[in-house]
This record gives sequence, structure tokens and C-alpha cells, in this order.
Amino acid sequence: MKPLHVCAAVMFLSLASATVGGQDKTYKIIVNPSNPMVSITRENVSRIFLKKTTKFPNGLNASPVDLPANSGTRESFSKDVLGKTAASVEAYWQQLIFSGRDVPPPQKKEGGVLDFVRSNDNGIGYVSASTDTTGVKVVTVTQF
Amino acid sequence: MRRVVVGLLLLCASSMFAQEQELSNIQIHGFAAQGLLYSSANNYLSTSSSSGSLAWTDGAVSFSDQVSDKLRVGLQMRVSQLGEFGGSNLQVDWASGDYRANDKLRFSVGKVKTVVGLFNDTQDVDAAHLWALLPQGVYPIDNKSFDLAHYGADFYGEIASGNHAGTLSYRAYAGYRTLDLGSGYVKEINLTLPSLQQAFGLPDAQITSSPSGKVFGGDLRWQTPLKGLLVGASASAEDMQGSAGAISFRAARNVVTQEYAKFEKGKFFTAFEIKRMPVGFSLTANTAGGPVTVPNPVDWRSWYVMTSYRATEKFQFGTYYSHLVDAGGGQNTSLSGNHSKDWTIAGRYNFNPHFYAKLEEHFVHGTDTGFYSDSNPNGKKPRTNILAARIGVAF
Repeated sequence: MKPLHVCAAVMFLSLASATVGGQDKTYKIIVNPSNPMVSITRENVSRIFLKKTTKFPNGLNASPVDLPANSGTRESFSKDVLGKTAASVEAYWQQLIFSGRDVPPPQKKEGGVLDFVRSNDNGIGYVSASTDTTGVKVVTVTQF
Repeated sequence: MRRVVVGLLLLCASSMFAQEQELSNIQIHGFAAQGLLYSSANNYLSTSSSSGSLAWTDGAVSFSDQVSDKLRVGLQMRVSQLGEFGGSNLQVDWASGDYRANDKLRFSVGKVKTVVGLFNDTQDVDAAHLWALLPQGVYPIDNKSFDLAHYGADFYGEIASGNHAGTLSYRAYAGYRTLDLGSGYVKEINLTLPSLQQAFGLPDAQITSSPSGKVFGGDLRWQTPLKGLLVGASASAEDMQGSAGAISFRAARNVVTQEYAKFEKGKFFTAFEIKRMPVGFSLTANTAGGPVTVPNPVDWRSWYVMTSYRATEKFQFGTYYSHLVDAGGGQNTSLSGNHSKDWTIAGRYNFNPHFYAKLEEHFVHGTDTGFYSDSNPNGKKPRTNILAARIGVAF
């Protein structure tokens, strides 16, 4: 393999596995340890949390759990992963709730999010980067 | 009574807004909003807005139960009053069962909100919008009770093709709708009746039972590969018939079309819609000598463009221009009674994730929509400035 190709391949792999900007500093995506998934794209996380899909890319059912609307971690997550401010996400859910189209994921404080994901094989949530995540699995979020 | 209900809703909200309430898989949500209308000239939307009017109140409570991974049932009760429209009675806003076979195929049955364009099914959810009044050429608030929902079935879903082709969503529905006696269409027809009854020597009568009609429609929208850009189109075929004493009326089946686009990126939002609603409306006087039909066609052609910016997490502002003409029967659309052009500026402040306030100013030219002859007995002036303010809570 030519050096140029090696270099391009390394760059591509680096980009593909790069964590979403800010995730390392502010939040971690967590799933149940029984879920074999080790990474997930930002687009897939977004679709799960906006309930545009009910499944992980590996075909397992996905049950998201959210942090409260006034959480700083949620604000970072909303901007980085959903591409919206927390207020825009709130407006999105109000439109779906009051038109009868869907309801948002349950909201819990960090302890509740951890408990939910630990006890639910299909669970997926996020907590602040400094939270002890014993008993759950942290997955990497990739751009692509 | 209306304010008591809204007060109760506010009390409920105050005690419950910290989180939506969950009882097992049941989620309870609600909203309530109180508005003010103040106009410089004509009275607007059947209120006495030229003197300032607080007769603008909405509230709703919804209950949704995720019965299983695939089945969700829900109900929303609503109270809504704007001037003479709506009333103090609680009404079923929607009540449906939703079955999700998979992401590509879902079904809803019951009283289902009608998805048309960008905002039809959410036009009564004040908390979800920056605007106190959505562009009235496309979303007339005095007729929302007719446009909002249908009794019937929807099937819908979306096909995600990845980042390269975007996501395609579809929806098709069939059912029937009823025209609320406290709506703008009924008021407009009732205002037309006396001259016809007098002309044919018929006894006075008003509409006392809700007119109804069938509706079939669909919506196709494409979330393009350009993140935040959505384009789509809706179409529906609908009819309606009813009577008032010896006069019957009908809107022959007509096709309403609506095309739209929106772009949302971070704090920036912009949208555009264009709508065509031709209605072959006619009234028939059932006289002793036989029926006499008087055609009264309308052809509403409307569009708007809007943009907004979220300056801070709490403050958002924006502007829109809404344009509507009624070209029915080849009438002159330059006359102020046959068009409505509305330039609006608006701001919204969120005190916290649940409480908000809105303030907006409308610069309106024309009186085709929202201005009723009995609310303006001295005639309608072509220009009106309208201040609309709302405060609300949602949980």
C-alpha cells in the first residue's frame, strides 16, 4: 500500500471514529451492558432521542431516557447531537405532544437515568462526563 | 366558566410543571394561554379589539399511554375561546390509537389531527410557536376548529435513506369533519342568510346543527440531505353540506393544495408556504316554486414567508409577511375586501421552560379574513394595525 493511501486511510479512520465535539467534556452516552453496541453515529442517537426510530442500528429496540429540560448537560447534548437548542427541542416535543403524534422520552435526574439504563436492556441515556457510570456501558458517538 | 377552567389548568400547571407527570407509562401534559388583542381601526376576529379585548383564551390537557412498544393511545381535551368563536365547553381535541408496525408504517385511528403543511396540526398549540397569530392567510384562527382534525384513519411513516438522500415521510388519511357552530365559516354563512331569506320570502333561520363533510388527503415531505432543510406538499379533497331552515348549502368537493419549505439551523429558522383553496360554495333556497341555487364561489390563494432568530436561550424574535387574495368568481382582488396582506413583527420571552410571554404587531391591509361585518357595523377600513400579546404555560 502506498504511503499516501495509508495516510488517507488513517485520516479517514480518525475522522470516522472521532467523538462528537464536546462529548468528552460534557456528557457520555450510556446503554445497558447487555447491548453489544460499542459505538453509534450522532445521526442515529438523534433519531432515537427524537423518537424518529424505535431501534438501535443493530436492530434491538431502543428506549431513550432524557434529563430534565433545565439541565446544563441536556443543553450540551441537544446542541451537539440533536443540532437544536434545548428550547427548540422543547418546542419540537410540544408540537408532537399536543397534536397527538408522540410523547417525549421520560425525563429523569442523572441517578434516575443510570437506574433506567441499568435495569432496561433497551435503555439509552446520557449523563454528565464526570458521572460515575458503573453498571452501564459508555458508547462512543461517531460523526458518520 | 371559561376563566375558571383556565384557572384550574394554571393551578394544575403550577403544581406539576417541574416534570411531566408519569403514572406508569401514562404521560400527562397541558398548556394554557391568555391573549390580548388591540387594533387601531376595525374590530378583529369578532372581538371588540379596537377597545382592547381579552376574549382570547386557550387551554388543553392531554393523556397518553404507551400500552406496548407498538401501541399508544391518547386523548386531549381542549377549551378555546376567541371572541364569539369556540366556547367554554371542554371539547375533544384529538382521541386516537396509534399503532407502529415499524418506522415505515404506522396507523392512527380516531379523531386525528390533520397534517397539512408545516403547522396545521399544531396551529392551536400556542406554546410551540413564536407567533401569537400564525400567518392568517394560510392558518385562519377563526376556522381552526374545522381544519385541525378529522374523524377517520391515517397511515403514515418515513423512509430514512441515510445522509445521502435524506428522509422521506408520507401520510395519507380519510374521514370526515364537522364544522363547529362557533367557527368563522358558520358565522360567515349565518351573516349571508338574512338577505337570501328576505329575497325569497323565507322565514328567518340560522344554522343550528353542525355541517359536515368527507375529507381525503395526503402529505409528502422530504428532509433533504442539506441538514435542516425540509420541503413538502399536502393535498386534500373535501366537501361539506348543511342547512339553515329552508336554505341548504354545500361546498362541492374541492382540492386544497399546500406546498412548503423550511430551513432550521441552530438559532435561525425560515419557512415558506403557498396554499390554494378553491371552494365551489353555493346556497339553495327551497322555495314553494322549487329550489333556487345561488352560487357563491371562493378561490383563496395565499402564501407567506417567515424568519426568526433565537437571540438567547430565553428570547426569540422574528417577522413574517402573509398574503391572501380571494379570486373566486373572477372578482377584483385589488379591492380591500378581497385581499389581506399582513406584515408582522414578533418577540417571545421564555421565563423558564414552562412560562412564556409573546408580543407582536401586525400591519394589515385588506379585510378579507378576520374582519366580520357585524363586528364592524360602520364599515371596514382598509388598514388596521393590531397588537397581539399572549402569556402562557405548558408542562
